[in-house]
Amino acid sequence: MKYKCKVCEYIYDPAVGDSTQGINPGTDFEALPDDWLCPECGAPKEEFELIN
Amino acid sequence: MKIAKNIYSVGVVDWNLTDFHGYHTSGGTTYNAYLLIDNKITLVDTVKNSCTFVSRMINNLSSIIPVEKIDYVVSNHAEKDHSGAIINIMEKAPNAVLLCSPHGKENLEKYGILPAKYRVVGNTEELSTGTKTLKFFHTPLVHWPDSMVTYLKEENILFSNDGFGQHYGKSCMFADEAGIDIVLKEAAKYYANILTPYGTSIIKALDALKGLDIKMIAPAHGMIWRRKQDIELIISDYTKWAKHTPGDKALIVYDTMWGSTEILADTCYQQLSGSGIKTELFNVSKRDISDIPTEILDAKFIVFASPILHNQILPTMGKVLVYLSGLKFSNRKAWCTGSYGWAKNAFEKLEGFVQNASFDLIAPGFYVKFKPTDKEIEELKNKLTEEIIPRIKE
Repeated sequence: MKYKCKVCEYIYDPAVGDSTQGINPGTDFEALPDDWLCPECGAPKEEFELIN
Repeated sequence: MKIAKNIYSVGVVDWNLTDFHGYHTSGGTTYNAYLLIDNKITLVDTVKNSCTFVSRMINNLSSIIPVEKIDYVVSNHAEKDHSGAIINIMEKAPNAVLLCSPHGKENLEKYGILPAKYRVVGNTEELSTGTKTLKFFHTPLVHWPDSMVTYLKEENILFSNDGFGQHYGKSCMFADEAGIDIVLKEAAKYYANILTPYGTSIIKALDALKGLDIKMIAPAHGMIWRRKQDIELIISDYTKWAKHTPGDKALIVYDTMWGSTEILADTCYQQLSGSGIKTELFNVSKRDISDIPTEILDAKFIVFASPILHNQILPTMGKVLVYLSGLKFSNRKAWCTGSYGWAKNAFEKLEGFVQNASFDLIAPGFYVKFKPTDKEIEELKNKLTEEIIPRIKE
């Protein structure tokens, strides 16, 4: 499931992951470490919302 | 000017600033930069790029050391009021290396002011300047993605950049010298207008800094916090604000065309005040828009009252609500009222704007055609007493 950053609208796609922070493709949003930050704006995980 | 042993404030006062990207400053501001003398010489932040400010900063530096001796320039934040003189300094100090966060590097590059000699510092990375140690903490979104703070470990000084800052220009440097009440008030105005959207990031930053024994907070704008009680107070205020803790008062934010909406606003004011709720009136055409967020910091309930013009809410109220929708206050209840002429559909837009600005709309609004009649005033009073006031007092 994809999640959107409420600050900058970056979309976390588990199929893509986040290479800038060593997150492999296939990693669910829930499985991201607590200190993971939005790669675009640095917002914490709490600022993300599920997009349907 | 010396702020501690071998540590100097070398920034400038912008006495005549009245508008900082739409934030109306009541007493100018300062662009603070700090010089740390050790085996390696470090400059923390610079000033806004104007020839007089750059000239003043270079003269401030030159009165302490030859500028070419600077070894490090720390860029805590790429915004141009702090990065504006990086190029001027790097030109005069050929051996200096600029230190910044990863996003800082990107943003300085986009501004075309990333010098050839730079190094990206990691979160919690430490750097020895000889006898002293700088520790960098990435604090994204306090205020931009690139923001970081620099802690001078041996002296327990936090160079906090925008965090804990105030747009307040004085010839003194310390909050207790300027008067703590006015500095706290300006810090609240600064937080409300600049940092309100980033509460979760601010809590993360405060948590990361919790273990530090901070004896001085030296921000990039305004006065330096040095007394223990003042440092505790501003950290406590930041924690409260970042958690979006509501205040205890009600605020009535309104504008009026021919006095009808003002009657509704004033009826709300009298009724709420009469029920024992601390209530304030705010006419957006007569007062400064930058004071509205500051008042909302202390509020738990806001009435938005607007007339209708050309089937829209009055543009002055639209401006306020667009501004507030960016700031995203949480945990505040709201309600709407207003007067219309012949078309009242725009009140749906008013309520939509209020919700879009993250306020919790507690009930459908109360709207009247032209001037409210005595009967309508009584209806409004009853509605407030029976429906609205109990919700405010919950």
